[in-house]
Amino acid sequence: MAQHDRLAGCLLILFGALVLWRASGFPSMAGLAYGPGLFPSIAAIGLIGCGAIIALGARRPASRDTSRSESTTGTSRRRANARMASLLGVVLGYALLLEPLGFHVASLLLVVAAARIFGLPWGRCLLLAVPLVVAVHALFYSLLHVPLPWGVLTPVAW
Amino acid sequence: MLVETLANLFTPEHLAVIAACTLYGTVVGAMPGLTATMAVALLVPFTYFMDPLMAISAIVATTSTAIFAGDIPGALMRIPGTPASAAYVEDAHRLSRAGRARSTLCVSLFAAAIGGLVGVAMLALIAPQLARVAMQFSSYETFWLACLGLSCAVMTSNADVAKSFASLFLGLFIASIGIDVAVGYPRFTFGNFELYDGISFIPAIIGLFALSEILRSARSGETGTRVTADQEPLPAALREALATLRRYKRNVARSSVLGTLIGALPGAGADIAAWICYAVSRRFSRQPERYGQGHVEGIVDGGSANNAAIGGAWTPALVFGIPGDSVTAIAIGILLLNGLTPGPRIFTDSPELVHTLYGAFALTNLIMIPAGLLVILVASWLLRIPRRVLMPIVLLFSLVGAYAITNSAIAIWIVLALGALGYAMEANGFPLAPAILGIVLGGIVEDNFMTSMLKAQGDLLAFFERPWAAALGTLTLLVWALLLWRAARDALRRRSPAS
Repeated sequence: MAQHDRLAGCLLILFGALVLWRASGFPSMAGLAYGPGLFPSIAAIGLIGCGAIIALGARRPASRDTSRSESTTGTSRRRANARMASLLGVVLGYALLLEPLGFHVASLLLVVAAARIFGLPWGRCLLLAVPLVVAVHALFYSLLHVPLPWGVLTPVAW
Repeated sequence: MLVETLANLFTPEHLAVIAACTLYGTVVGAMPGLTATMAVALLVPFTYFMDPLMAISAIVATTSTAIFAGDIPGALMRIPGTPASAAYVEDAHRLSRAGRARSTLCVSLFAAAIGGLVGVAMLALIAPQLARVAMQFSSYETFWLACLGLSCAVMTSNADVAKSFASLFLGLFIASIGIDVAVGYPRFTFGNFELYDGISFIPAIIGLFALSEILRSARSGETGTRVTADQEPLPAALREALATLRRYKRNVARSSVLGTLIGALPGAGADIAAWICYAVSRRFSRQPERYGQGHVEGIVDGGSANNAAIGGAWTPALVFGIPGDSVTAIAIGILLLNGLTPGPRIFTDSPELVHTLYGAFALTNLIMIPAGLLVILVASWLLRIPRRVLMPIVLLFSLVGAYAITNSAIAIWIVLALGALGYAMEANGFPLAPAILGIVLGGIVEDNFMTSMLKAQGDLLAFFERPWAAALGTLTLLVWALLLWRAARDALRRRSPAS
């Protein structure tokens, strides 16, 4: 697995600085020099320090050639990354659509899309998704009484 | 007390939950790519709807059996089902290729059950004694203990020190999101009222441990490994397994005790216990050259050690409220959600919880034997369920489970953000355990630090005035110095091209 230590270190420094900047604006307790900002600041300083060590200690790019000679070729790696990115996209879509569309429709779409990404044929996707959504409905809605949103199906809700 | 515990334990619902979780743990643990921590993460939304005693039993049952069941794909496919089985996967797989899959798995199963029972017996003996000492602790000592717990998590993880610390600080930062404890100021909420309570703990662990695993498996695609089908009849396998255990009974005893002690170190879980006990076993074996070539001795040691470690991990969790591994970190989170604060007082305030925990442990390790035999029988069939069917199911359960906690889409957003973070961290060699400890302990550290600072009027020396506080504080500072030195040395060594 190729590791991007320099990038990771820089990101940590950047993020730590951002947190530190936000935390410096927090009010302090009456009569004391510290307050709600103290703890986030400690975490932020820690992140900056670790980021610096990670970025400075990053291996020279020369050693990366050996790690790249794994069985994965260029195209299959691109495809693997695409699978992962599209799965993230599917979860993002679920977060956006769950409440407007309702649990049943959104979950059906989620399972079909995820199964497609993992390479299941269309027909079997539906064969998997329909009973699964019914089972989850029974478990969470009927048994545990979780108020799952009905969304567009609200007229037929029970 | 005993009668009350047994009455608690042997209610029909309780038994049903333990039995169901034993089966659930075995199945999830046996699936390559689904770890024991993930099994617990998926279970947590359900425990939210149970009473705390039952929730704890459910978690105990699931982890114990999932750690054993990780051996199944290890033996049959050379893919450890959970990281705790990785130490002896080579031996198990070679034995299984030689047609001895079932007897090897039976050895694992019995070693696991014995290890688990020794682990809980030691927990029951040691924890109340430690609790008596811990009763004298004030906010100073608790602060140092939490710091020490966090640092140990960094020290025992075998990843890069700087990366472990970074993971820890990310966890502490996540813990600081929401209304602060001292003056009630909303931090990093960006006006979103749903974040005022902080990042919900359960969606956070589902993101870190479940979604990140699903993403990783999406990236790696379907593995083509075939299950080794050649199998012996079960009665013969059982006889052989029992004979093996009799031959290596000293290994079982040694690794169960050692595994419990390693598990009790904060941050060192079942996987590290298995690695160390496997190494110790090889060191003292009469045939060290056969390790890794399909020798059953290492399986006896590793198999009992990783299950013993589960009991051990509960010692610091119960006594100090400092989790011993990611699973007990999750369990502490659940107890806190139920209004129970783990710590020395739990032994006097809710002894029924502690005793039920012991009972659930013992019972689980006994129920695990028939459940495990059942799964060993159907193992080759179970492992044929392809990942492309399994992963969408796990994905839906993770997302709906998270939603069930907050009843709003914010849970899905948290899962998404922390899932992506968890994946990126693991892919770049950042361990996840320190982050989850940071999330759980962040609140405790900050509470006790702020309380202490208020008591001491900002005088930092007060943190060293009481004798226990001074000892713990000095120890913590020593650990920090050691870690800092190690991090600097690692960074320098990697920069110099000579090595």
